[in-house]
Amino acid sequence: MSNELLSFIERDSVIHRLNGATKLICFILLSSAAMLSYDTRVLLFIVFVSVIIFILSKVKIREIGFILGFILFFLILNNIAIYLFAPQHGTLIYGASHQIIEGIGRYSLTWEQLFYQLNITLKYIAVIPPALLFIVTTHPSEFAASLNRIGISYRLSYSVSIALRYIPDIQRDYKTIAKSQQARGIDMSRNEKLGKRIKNASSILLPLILSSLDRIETISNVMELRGFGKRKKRTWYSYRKFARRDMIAISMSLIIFGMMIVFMFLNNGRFYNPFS
Amino acid sequence: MRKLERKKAWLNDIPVAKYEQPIHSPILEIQNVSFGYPDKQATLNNVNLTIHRGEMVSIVGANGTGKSTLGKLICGFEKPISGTLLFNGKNGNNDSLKMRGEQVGFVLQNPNQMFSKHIVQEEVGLGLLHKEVSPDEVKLRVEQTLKVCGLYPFRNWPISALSYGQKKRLSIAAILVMEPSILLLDEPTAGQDYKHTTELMTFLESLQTQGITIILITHDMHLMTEYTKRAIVLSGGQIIADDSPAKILANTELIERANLKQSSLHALATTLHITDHERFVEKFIQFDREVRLNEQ
Repeated sequence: MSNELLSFIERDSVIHRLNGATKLICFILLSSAAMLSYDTRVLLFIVFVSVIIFILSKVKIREIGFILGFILFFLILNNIAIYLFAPQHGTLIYGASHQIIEGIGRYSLTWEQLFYQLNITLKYIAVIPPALLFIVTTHPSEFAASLNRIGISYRLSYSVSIALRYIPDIQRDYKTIAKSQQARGIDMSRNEKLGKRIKNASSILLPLILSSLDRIETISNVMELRGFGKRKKRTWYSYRKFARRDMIAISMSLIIFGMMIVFMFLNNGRFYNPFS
Repeated sequence: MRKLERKKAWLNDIPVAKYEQPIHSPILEIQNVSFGYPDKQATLNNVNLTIHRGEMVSIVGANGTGKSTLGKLICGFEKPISGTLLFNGKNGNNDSLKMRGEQVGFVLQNPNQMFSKHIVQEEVGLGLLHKEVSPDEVKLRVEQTLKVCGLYPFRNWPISALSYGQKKRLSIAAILVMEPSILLLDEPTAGQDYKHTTELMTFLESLQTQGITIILITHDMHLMTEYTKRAIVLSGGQIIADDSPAKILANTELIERANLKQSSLHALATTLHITDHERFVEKFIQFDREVRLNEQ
């Protein structure tokens, strides 16, 4: 079946050619930099870098469109929730209050709150491209090999790779199950009311879990039969050596991470305050 | 040598049942249908096929020849890029899955992919409950279907306690209860032993006599020869033969082209120096059936 979500997309690009472990390290560095900092300048820079990485990877937006929409939906939900539960959090952080519109009770809109939520949104936007790219540009087997190389036990590396490897399979299962249920009259298309749709869709979960459990059993038996886990070490078919570009990528991520730390000291904290 | 002569004489004694295909109205017409996934080579190329009411047809072909895709198109899981599918003469291209499901029941290869309830009878009733059928009628139809499928004694069992063959029959029951006019089965006997295969196929034959059209997707040549009167051979996304199974298997060139495996009966015929494979296979199956019937 076509266009599976979150599966490896084969292409020839700089990002694809990077070592799997490099991508993991860069992803961790970039995302923790974006997570820790609330400094708009740092975040904007990471967003900028992320967009460049995305363009370099030659992955098309269309190919990850659905998952992007999904994340965007949560981003909006998150923003609404923040405003509902903490409409004055920005004022609290930045120690100032510049009102735009007066609202009922504490729901007055302030520049501080807007700025705070802008930073949250930037965090999302900064982390999404590296996270998605890490999944769609890393071949599962190659990734396991690299993980093992940086010292993680091969059993663990292998389970991570199997998990990644089965994302498309489980999606295919899901589609088949969903369609067979729909053919039996359990409607999940737009013709049905949303509440009922969700209820109907949840009925797929049981067969999906069951068939996945079946798969787990089969896989583990097959691996045992092939002698997996017998020796302390194993060789990797798709191991890729660390090349110069890997070093460059890791150093660049380290620099960005370092920059975030420097800005933290300059700001005396995680926030950049333009209001004082 | 005498032995061989005797065998041949014995073979000649078995009467071949004269079978005449009753001509019924077409229930499914596939016209110039093509299908392919984007950016990939077409999996089905200009397929034309007519299936008549009450037929039992097998669709055969090696892996990756498009037989499963054809099945998916028939049951509406996928939509053709071009061409039309007519159900009872009506264009079904714009049917929703739900509408198509009322005409075609698709039994997936893996029964575990079909169950979403815990208890056998709940599973069978699931589709009906969504169709606004009165509870009394649901109960009645569920019980009837379970009896037909030989699962009535297990109606209160959890599905997980059933054997694979029983699950397979349950998946058929869950479809059958919706009363589709066409039943489409993907590899119905995969992973089952001879006894269960025979049981299942006999059951399907009884359904056929009740007027249900049955389409089998399979790569089991014996299944095709023994139970269906008509087989459609797919190769490279095209129909390369539409004939009686015996004739198909007798055609070595065709077999090679379609990358099919000859059934062991044909190998046996060759070893016995029987030239008329077609008749031999027909007779063997006839005899096999009689023995089975006598046993029951």
